[in-house]
Amino acid sequence: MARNDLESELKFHEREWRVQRFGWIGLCGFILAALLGVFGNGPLSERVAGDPRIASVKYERFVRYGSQTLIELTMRKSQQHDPAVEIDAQYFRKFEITSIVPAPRSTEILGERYRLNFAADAVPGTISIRVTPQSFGRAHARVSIADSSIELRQFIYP
Amino acid sequence: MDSVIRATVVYVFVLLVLRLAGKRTLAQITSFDFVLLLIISEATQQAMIGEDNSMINAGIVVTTLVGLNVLMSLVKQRSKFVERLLEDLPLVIVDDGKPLKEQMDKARVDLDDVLDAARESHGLERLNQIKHAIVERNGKISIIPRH
Repeated sequence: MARNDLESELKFHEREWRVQRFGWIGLCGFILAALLGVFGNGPLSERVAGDPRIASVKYERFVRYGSQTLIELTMRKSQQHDPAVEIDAQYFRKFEITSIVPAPRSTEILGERYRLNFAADAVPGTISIRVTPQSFGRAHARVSIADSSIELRQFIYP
Repeated sequence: MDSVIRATVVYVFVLLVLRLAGKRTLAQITSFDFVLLLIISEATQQAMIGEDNSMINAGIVVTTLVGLNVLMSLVKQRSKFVERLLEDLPLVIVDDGKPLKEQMDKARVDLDDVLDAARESHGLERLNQIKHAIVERNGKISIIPRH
C-alpha cells in the first residue's frame, strides 16, 4: 500500500520534471525574443517607414508603457516652403511628448491633426521626437512630412 | 534587448562580488548582513530597471535572472570545475576535537561561531563534545558531535 503510494508520487515528479523542461524551453524562447526585440529595444522592433531618399520615419515598433521611445523624422528633399510635420492628434492621447529636437518654431491645430513648423535649416536633417507611452495596446498615426504621408504603427506593452 | 543584457551583467557582477567576499558574507543573516542585502538589492534594482517601470520589463528581468540560475545549475551539474569555482568546497575547521587555527582564521570563523553552531544544532556546551566542525559550501557551520 505504502509502496504503491510512493510509486504514484514518483510519477507525479516525473510529470513535474517534464513540465519543467518544457518551461525551460519557454523561458529560453522568451529571453531570445527579448534579445531580438519582440518586447522593444532590439533589431525586430526597429522600423523605418517612408522613402529614405525623400522623407522617412524611424521608430520602435514595440514600445513599453511609461518608457521613453524615440521617433526620428529624416527629411532629405529641400522644399520651397518651410519644413513642417503633421501628426494625428489622437496619437497624443496615448503618448506624451517628452521632447522635440530641434524645437518647432510654432505649432498649429488643423482639425484632427497637429502641425509642427520648423525653421528652414532643419532640412535636410533629422528631427528627434521623444515620446512616453501613457496607455497600452495598439497605436497608430499618420505622419506627413515633405509631402509624403507615412503610417506609424506601434504596440505598447503594459 | 538591453533589459536582458543589464540583468545578465548585474547577475554576473553580484555573483563575482559575493564569491570574492567569501561564503560567510551572507550565510547567516545578521542584522548587518540584512542591511547589506537590502542595499545591494536597491542598488542593483536601479541598474537593472532604470527608468523602465513597465510590466513587460519586470517580466524580462525576472525571466533572465531565473534563466541564468537554471543555466548555472545545469553547468554546475555537468562540470565539477565550475561547481568548485562557483560554490567552493567544504572546509574542516575542527578535526577530531582539535580546532585548526589556520583554517579558521582563513575562513574568518572563530571558536565562538563554532560553539554557536554547536549549541544551535545539537545543544552542545563544550568544545570537547565536538568531534568535527565543517564550514559548508553555503557558509554554515555543521557540527558532528562526539558520542
